[in-house]
Amino acid sequence: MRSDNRRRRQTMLKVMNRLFKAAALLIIVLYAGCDPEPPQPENPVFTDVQKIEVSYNGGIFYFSEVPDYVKYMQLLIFSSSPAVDDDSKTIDKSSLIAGSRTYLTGFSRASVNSANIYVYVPADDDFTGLPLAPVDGDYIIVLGFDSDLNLTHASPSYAMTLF
Amino acid sequence: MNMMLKKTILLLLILTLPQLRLYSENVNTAVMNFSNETGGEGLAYISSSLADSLSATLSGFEDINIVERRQLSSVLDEIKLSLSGILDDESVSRAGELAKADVLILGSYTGNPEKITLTIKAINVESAGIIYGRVITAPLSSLFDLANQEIKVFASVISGKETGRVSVSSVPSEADIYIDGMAAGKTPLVEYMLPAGSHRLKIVLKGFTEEERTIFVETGKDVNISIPLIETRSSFPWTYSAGAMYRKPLNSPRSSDFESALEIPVSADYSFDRFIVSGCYSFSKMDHSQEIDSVFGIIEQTRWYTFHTFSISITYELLEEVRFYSPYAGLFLGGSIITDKKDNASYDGGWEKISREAEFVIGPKAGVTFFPEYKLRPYVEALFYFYPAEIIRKEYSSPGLAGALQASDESYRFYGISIGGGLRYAFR
Repeated sequence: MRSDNRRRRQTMLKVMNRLFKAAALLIIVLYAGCDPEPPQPENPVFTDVQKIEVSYNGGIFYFSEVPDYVKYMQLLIFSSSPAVDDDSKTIDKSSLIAGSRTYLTGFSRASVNSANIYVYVPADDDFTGLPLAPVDGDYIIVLGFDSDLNLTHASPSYAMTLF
Repeated sequence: MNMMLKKTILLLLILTLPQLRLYSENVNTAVMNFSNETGGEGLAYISSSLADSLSATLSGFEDINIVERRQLSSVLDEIKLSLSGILDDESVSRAGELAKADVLILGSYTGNPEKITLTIKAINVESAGIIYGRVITAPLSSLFDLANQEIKVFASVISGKETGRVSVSSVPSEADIYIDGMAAGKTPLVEYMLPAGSHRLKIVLKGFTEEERTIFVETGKDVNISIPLIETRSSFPWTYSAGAMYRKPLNSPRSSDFESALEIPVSADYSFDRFIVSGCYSFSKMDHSQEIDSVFGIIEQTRWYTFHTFSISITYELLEEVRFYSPYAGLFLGGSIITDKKDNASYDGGWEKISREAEFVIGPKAGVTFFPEYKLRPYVEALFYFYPAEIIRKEYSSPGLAGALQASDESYRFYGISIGGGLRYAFR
């Protein structure tokens, strides 16, 4: 009888120990996974271009530091962080889902409303689909071009959760 | 007919009889030795040699019989005409009688080989009067020419032929004058007597083009000729030129047009007679903007080439005698520094250098220089330029969304024409 109690007490201690360890592990895991503000990207996606800063407030994307000579702009929304080729100054479009650009409704050199974001249609290679509001987890990149279509500006690749 | 009229006609016949004799028959003319007044014996040979030369010239006139010079030796010995140079009626008459001449040509000379003054006279033996005389001042080298030129006038006067006067001036002066191939002095030549008729006049001055023309002398009339001389091209070996050319490419790449361009050439030219060697620099800026199809529509990307071309050309003037224009043709070869640029707002100055290449260029050229004997000469020129080596040109295309323009290489050759003109300025 005494030995049974002793065995039962040891088993409980083991379970509690495991629970404690699991709890500690869970706490560590939760602590690590719940960081609300990972390091914000500072640099444009390309080298040798000027930086455009993008902010999001009240459903509107605002573009800052865009000089007058930037005539054409694109706002690109990716479902995941896109691959960037700095040599050719191109972004992999496989995860491009939506966006807007100069000459589309609601797009200006200063801002664009999230209601004026349209689905990217690969066949057209343009934002010819229906409106599509970005969601957390998307990535936002803005590019700027001069009147000769030289790429002169780019933003960092912003994670949507930052906004 | 009344008596008074008959007497008058008779008197006129009597008065004109000697002249009729002179004009109606061949005139026996003796050329005496010229009197040496130089004070030395160095030029003594002129005395007889000039007389011989003039005799030979006069013998070519139909109306004049020249007394053989050999026959004159005894006359000369007897009256010493050639030594004294002093004439009196008696000695002239005696000389004429001994020589069986109607007219004596005689005179004297003084000075030195650089400047000799020669006096020639034609004397009527019968009247002992001077028919015609002339003083010539010239260096020894042209003395004989001038004297022989003059003696033609003497011949006209002696034989009663009609004469006129010609005055010749040139700018600049001091040009040698040749009439009928013989020296007649230097410009300005004033009231120079010539037999009536046409004569060939030539004006020669070193560094200037020869002027040659036919003049017609009318009896008793004056002919005045003024000739502006034009400096020869050989007196202006160096010329410097500047102009403007219309440069027209004859080919273009797929994505754009090579536009015509203004080309500014400057050159320094050196003439070796009719060959001209030129060192030339030219600059031109040629638009080759490219249209790019993009999501934003058709965008024109402003691009241009600059050409800094250094070349050497060898041309040949096609005409030997030039006055108002001188066509030329030849070849040029050299090299161009070709820089490809495009607008790019993010670069300093607003443009970006895409590439720079040094290329060999060659081609034929031809043109016309106007008024080539003047210091300031307009010219027109055309050339065909060809770059044998292929030139690599960046072609840009849009990747659509999410990227910068993508460049690819296309190779091609430059060739085309340049047409234009300018001004050349000549230096000594």
